[in-house]
Amino acid sequence: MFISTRIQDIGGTAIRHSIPVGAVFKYQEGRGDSYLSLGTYKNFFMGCKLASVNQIANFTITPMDSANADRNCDVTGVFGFVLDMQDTPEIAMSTRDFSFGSVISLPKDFDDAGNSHLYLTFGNRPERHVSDQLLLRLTGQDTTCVFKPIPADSMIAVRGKAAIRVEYLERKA
Amino acid sequence: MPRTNFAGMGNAMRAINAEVEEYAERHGTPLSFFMEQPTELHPVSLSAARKLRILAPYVEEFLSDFSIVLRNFGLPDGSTRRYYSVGRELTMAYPVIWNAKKDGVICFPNLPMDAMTQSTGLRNENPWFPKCSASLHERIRDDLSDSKKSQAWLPVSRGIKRLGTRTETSVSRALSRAFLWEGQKFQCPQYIDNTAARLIEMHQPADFHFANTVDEVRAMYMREPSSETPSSCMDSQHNFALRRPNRPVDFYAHCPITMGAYISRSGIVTARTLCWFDSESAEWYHTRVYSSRAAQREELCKHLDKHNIKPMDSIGRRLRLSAEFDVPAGDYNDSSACPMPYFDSTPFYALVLKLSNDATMFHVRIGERNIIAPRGEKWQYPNLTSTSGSYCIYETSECTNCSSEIDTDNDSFWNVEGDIYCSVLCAEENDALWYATAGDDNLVYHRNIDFTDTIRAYHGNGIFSNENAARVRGCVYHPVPWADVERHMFVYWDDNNGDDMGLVHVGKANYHWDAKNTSSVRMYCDAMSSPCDVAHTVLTFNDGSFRFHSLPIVDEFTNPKKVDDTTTVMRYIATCDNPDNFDDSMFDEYLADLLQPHAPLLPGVTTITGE
Repeated sequence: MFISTRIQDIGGTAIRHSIPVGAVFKYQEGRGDSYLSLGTYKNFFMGCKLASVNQIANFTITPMDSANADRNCDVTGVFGFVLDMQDTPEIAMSTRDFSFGSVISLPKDFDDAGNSHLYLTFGNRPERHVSDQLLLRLTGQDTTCVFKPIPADSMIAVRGKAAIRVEYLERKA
Repeated sequence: MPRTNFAGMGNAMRAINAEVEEYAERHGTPLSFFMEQPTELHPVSLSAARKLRILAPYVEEFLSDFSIVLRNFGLPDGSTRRYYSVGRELTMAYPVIWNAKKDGVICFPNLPMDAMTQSTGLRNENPWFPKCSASLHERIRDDLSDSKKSQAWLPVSRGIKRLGTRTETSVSRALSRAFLWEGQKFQCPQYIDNTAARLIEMHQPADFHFANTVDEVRAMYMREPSSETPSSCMDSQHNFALRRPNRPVDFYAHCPITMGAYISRSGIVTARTLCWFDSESAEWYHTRVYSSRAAQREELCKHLDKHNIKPMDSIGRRLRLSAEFDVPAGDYNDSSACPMPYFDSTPFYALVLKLSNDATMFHVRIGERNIIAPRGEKWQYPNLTSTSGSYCIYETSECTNCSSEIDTDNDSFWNVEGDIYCSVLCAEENDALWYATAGDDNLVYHRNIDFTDTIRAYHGNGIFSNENAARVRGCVYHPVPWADVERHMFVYWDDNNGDDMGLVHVGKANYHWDAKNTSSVRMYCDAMSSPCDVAHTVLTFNDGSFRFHSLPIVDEFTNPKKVDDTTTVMRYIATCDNPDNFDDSMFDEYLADLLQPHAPLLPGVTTITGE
């Protein structure tokens, strides 16, 4: 699924900092909550916490030097993004008040073939410069560095909304 | 018990039918479009609901006992849930109640129930809108419409008699047949037998004891990991700053005006309290009674009443007791340590102590401060709400860190396991940190902490004794206020050092610890460029709880939106508020590549058009 996790990874065990991007995992001896791994940005684990009752995934930012980094986790599933693209993109500014969950593209940001990269807006950067925006890249070949900060008030084209699709092994049967 | 006839329901149904009829007529809608509500139900159905309502309190009693046993001795899946009630995983297939002697049960197998849990209950069961007996009513209705099957329910007297069929059986048999855990019958026969034995044991008479000697008091605070013994921060499951076999509760055995009182069943303490002797009235008074069940508390109170020991809060005045006695010195890190329990009741003005010259005995005085601790005699005041379990005497009057002189009669100072410090900062520089429990905090040395179950504060020089203490005493930390964290993170707020952690207070609101537990906490996050930056990034909340940004989850088997085959992901269309200021060159320079078709999606990213 997303970037680097394969169906075959389900059922595996890994330390939190080794959990691949795209994995659904649970902490061993935890409270039973499921999390999605979105990778790392600076010194933070980026992820989501599944709240199944509401059919939503809450965004999580956890410091890498917290007690979680060395805890064992079970990979219980995989996830990917489903994009609901708009018929008509909207040209807008990434305002200081952050947005979340939109699929956007940026000017002068394209691949070798001249096609625009798509990004998911992730709100303000989890650092001290709150006015900057953080984006998660959804396109391209490079899977190593998917987070990208951009200054506030950047010009963007809003092209859709994103949702998450979760897949568990037992449902594959 | 008055007979429930559900007469009101028939009238309510008639009113609904009349209203529907009027509505249909007013809007010219055929009445056949609406379902008519039954105004009468078959007497057997009414009887079934009535029987369930009659049995409700007895079923609840058995289910409550069963739930206590599950919480104390473990769940069928091997896990434990000591501090939370057993939820919807446990369901009862048909009513089971205790027999008169409470050594067996009575089952009602012809009153099958669905989704009967401890939280649903039977007290409001209604045949029109059944919560726990929908299947039963459906079956009665179906059977009555079949000429052969209806014979099982007709005449009505036979049907009612059939519903009331009762079977007296053993507890273990009832557990194996009438109860389901997560929809499955209990698998392990050994688990069923053990659970049944514990259920029966709960209602056997308990033995009453007084605890006067050291061994007796220690026995009163003995708690096995999975037992009915009420937990205490002083019980045998905890470690203290005191070398074994000494225990903090030894203090009560040496104190002439205290004793313990408890009841036990098969050697397991099920309720306990402490008693204090008032020499003025020559009477004993007991403090709060600890038990895991109300019935056990009541049983102990009856025994205390028989011995003329009254509750301390019933006398209408504050007890001011006095005593003088010796406590043998214990040992901690080669220092003399006086066993010192956590006092949840202090019916005296002050407690002071002094170590004997040969360092083998602590001389303890309880009473009025001016009388028991004259100035210049170097009496020391132990912390009575500490859970460290001992008091280590300090022998110098110099700060252990900076060597500055401390006047112990007048200056404030900090005692860390027998070493004194002029300030918290000095203590912290010497490896001390705050050990916080739910009700107290103490400076202790890092090297001496038992880290079992502890939670280190992410910010602040503190460590919480367990998750509950962190929730009660701490403040939560999130790097940013709009995102959750993968595991609760806490801040220890040190009032003595003030706000030196470089964090920003986000606000106070409800915090969802897990699916069942919510409480109000303060949240701190990393300092932003200014407090107003925090204000604009905190999500508004209507239900008084912190909220975080989220993405919707789309199950792989459901489509999030009706797919429009004509949807084109990319179109060169944009809107411009002021076309006069916008020419082609500007378009090319600023916007043209912004709207290019998108690059190939990363693995795991799809669009709903199926790209």
